[in-house]
Amino acid sequence: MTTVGNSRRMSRRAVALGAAAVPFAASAAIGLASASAQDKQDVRIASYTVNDTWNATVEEMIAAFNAQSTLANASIEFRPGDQYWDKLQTEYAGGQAPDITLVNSEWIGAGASRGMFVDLKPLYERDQVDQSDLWFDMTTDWGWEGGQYGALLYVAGQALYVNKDLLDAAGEPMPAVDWTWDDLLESAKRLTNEAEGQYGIYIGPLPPPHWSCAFVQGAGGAVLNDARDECTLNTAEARAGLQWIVDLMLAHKVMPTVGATEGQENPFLANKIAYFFGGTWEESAIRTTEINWDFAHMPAHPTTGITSVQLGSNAWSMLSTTGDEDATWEVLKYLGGPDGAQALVSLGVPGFNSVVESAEYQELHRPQDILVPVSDFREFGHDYYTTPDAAEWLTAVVNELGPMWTGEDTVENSTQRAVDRVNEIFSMRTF
Amino acid sequence: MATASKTLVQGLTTTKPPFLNHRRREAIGGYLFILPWIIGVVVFLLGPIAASFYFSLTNYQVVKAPEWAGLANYRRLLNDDLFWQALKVTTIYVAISVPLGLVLSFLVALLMNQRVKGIGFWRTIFYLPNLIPLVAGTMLWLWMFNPQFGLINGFLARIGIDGPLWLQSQQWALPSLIIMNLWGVGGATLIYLAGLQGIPTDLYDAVAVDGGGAWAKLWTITIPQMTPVIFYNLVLGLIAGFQVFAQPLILTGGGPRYSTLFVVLYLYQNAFANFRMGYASAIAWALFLIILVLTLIIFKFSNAWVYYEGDTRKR
Amino acid sequence: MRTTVDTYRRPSDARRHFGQFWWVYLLLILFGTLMMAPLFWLLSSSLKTEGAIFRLPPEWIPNPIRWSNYSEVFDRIPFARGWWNSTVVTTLATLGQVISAAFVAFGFARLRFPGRDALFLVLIATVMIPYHVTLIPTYVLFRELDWLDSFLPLIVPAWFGGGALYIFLLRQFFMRLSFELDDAARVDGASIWQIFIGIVLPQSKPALGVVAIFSFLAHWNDFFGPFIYLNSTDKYTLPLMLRLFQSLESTEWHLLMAASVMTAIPCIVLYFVAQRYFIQGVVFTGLKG
Repeated sequence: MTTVGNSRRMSRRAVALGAAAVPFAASAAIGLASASAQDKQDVRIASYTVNDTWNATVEEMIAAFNAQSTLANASIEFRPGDQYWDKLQTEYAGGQAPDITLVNSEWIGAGASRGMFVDLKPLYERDQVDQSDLWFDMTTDWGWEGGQYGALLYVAGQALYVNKDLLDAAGEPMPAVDWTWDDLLESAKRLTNEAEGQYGIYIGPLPPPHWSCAFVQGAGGAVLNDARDECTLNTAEARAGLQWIVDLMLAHKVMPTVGATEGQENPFLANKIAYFFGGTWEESAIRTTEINWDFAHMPAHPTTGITSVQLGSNAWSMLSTTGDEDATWEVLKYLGGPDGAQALVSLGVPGFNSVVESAEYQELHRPQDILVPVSDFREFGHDYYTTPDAAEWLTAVVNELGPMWTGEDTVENSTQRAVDRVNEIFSMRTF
Repeated sequence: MATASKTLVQGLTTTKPPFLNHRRREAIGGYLFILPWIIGVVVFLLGPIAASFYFSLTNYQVVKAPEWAGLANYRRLLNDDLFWQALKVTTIYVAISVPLGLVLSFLVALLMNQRVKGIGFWRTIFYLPNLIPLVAGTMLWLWMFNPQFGLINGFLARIGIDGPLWLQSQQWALPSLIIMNLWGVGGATLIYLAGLQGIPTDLYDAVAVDGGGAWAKLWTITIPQMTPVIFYNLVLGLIAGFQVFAQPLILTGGGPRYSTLFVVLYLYQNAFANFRMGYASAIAWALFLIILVLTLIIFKFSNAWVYYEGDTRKR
Repeated sequence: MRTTVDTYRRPSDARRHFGQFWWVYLLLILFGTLMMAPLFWLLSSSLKTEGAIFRLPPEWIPNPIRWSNYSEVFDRIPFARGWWNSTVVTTLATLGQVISAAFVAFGFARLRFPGRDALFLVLIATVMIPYHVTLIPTYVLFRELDWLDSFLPLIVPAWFGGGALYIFLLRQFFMRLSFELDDAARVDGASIWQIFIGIVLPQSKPALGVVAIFSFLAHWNDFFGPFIYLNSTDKYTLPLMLRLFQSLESTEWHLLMAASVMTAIPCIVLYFVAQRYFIQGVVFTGLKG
């Protein structure tokens, strides 16, 4: 090669290199620009399936979140509810857990105390998220050692549904706001016609942590003591509350027996019950029937004057194995904040005052007045008795109280056995 | 073989007698044939099984790392009244439902082996309960056993009996599950049917020639020929019976008052609801030991009553 | 297979047949009704409105009959996808179990090798441990292999002797066969493989058929395995999709029943066809094909 050729070749090479460099530079520039836009972190949310509408609504809300977020790209997996908790634990142990999961009051104590979930309180404080609008206290069921381990989805609880047709037919007036258990019993007797399979009262589900708790509390007792390290079902007050329910079925016969209702459809839906103490989630099923119904306030205990309503809730929690805590927290803030609550307003009782008092929310439940049960929740709501070993001692209580509902054994014996077994479980605690 | 005869014919002796060569080839063949299983055990089973044994010596709360606990879980096992209750429930269940199922399915198989029209249709009918998804079948049972409106008490009422509370009664919950289990005889029946196929007809002809009737044929030919299959159903029934889990989980949750608390159900509750995977593993290994001992006993005694046609040469 | 029932010529033949077997028919009808009850109730429920399923007293014939439950199931869950997934997993897994069980059972039944009986006991012992306590280590294993959210954990173990009880079953059946043919074949210079393929397997069709039927059913209706290892909904098998009708608080029974019927139908059809092929209900000599 001649030097002249070289220099020409070199300059040609330089031009070629320069030319080649341009698209590189251009794509690098574009890459940089799109990287910042597409640098969204993937956040996996898992939830147990509730029903079709639920799933669709939640997906819509997540799409709305993704549209306005620059940090996170959320996706949701709906799974069967049956062994949801087993799978989640297995995934967690295997390092494959999602970033966010839906949790209920039974599991939260277990997960929070064992480090499965992240304490959100520092994050709430750091970002100065205003939680004052919440009427539902997140520190009892969703707290552990001063922290907060869930962002509320909604509250569910005990509501009283009244069959107005049956009341009208018997000439009974709707219950007064300050009525008592005695009033309830008397009215129920007038509304019971065993021959036609019609009963005055139905309470379902019964065993703790469900609606029998409200009657225990109304009589002045409690399932656990305040420190939650002792079972107090064997106090006279607690026994009185439980005895009252058992008498409804076996003595006064104003409530169908457990044997009749097990595995059967809710008899309220079959137009056979006047006063139904059930969960707020039963409302949608009731609306599909032709029954003329309304909400009513919970009765007070005639002597103690206590009114009690049992509550439960669902919240979103952050798993401690999450990849990017900031991105996950952004999703969680949205899910648990007023935006999320507003989007999911049709699915449960919102925890935010502003949402509860909104016209949109109340319209969903017309012509009934949803504020009747909700006001009872705010005034008389009782927590779920969350503990880290909730599943274990609740199973024990359900088992030991079983024979009591059918009359196979007395309230005294059953409650004593329940207390013994629960205290035994508590004695094995390691936390 | 051909090689051996060649050398013998040629009058030469080989250093290795062909007899040993054949044995060795058969042994190698044996290992080759079971190789898939060996690989499967080593890759998929060995690790997890060893791990579960390790867990039984720890406190393992699943979402936290295991902590060494020595024999504490096993000591707890001996004093845990719920474990002994579960063992009692499971043993009673096995002791009743296994023999019952064995006899019933055998009888049904004999019935189905008759030369009747449309036997294929009947065989499908009898197997139907096994073909339905579990979740649908269990709903049916909840409904049928309902004390007030269920079919069973309705039928009993018509013949003047006041039916019990079935799944809600401490005495009747376990019997309910036993009765339910009988609906699944189709599986064992199928195996028996397959076994009845392979019995050579000339054996029956020989009995007929000697003047024997149906009973003689059953007792001297059918049953002895079927002992390998009976043995299988017995061992299978035992192992499966001790590990019953899904029905009590769905139908009773172990209640009322632990009357249907089966060992594997109790194990499952400890593993996933109570965060005691270590204790659950100890229960699993205790159960394993019990089943193993019982199975070994059955195997030991099997030489006395199980007859294999192919057992005619030294094994 | 020629049977006596195929050759009726005269009415007196039929009368003789029924005269001999009337009790068989009676028992069959009696027990058959008991066995049919679950399926009939399932069908009946699948055609009812949700409230009607638990109506007291119970009704066997739905009124009104809601065929729309079935179309609603198709709208609600991607049933065609579920059928496809279930078919793929079940077919491949069943094939693997039948083939590998036949191999391994033959080794245990017809071949002699040191440690055979001990290894056989190990085989039986492996099914004595409930899966709950090996679940997490197994899950971790599949994670290490990167098989999560795929069909591999559901299929591959089946090809490696994953059905210990099926191996046990086939071993029992193989041991019932006499060694006459084997020995004759060996004298003729047949290899072990040829004995396996040419002599033992053909005589074992009913047993192989039973294993195939059981394996198919077990995989088709398996909920827990797919539940743990699959995450994407488009990979869900049918049992998983069925459970989506059950939430923690309520169940849409009428749809669940309709979906269960649709899940059960392939099994019923397959079983009906298979058992006619494998189990003929007529005793024949062991030496005939």
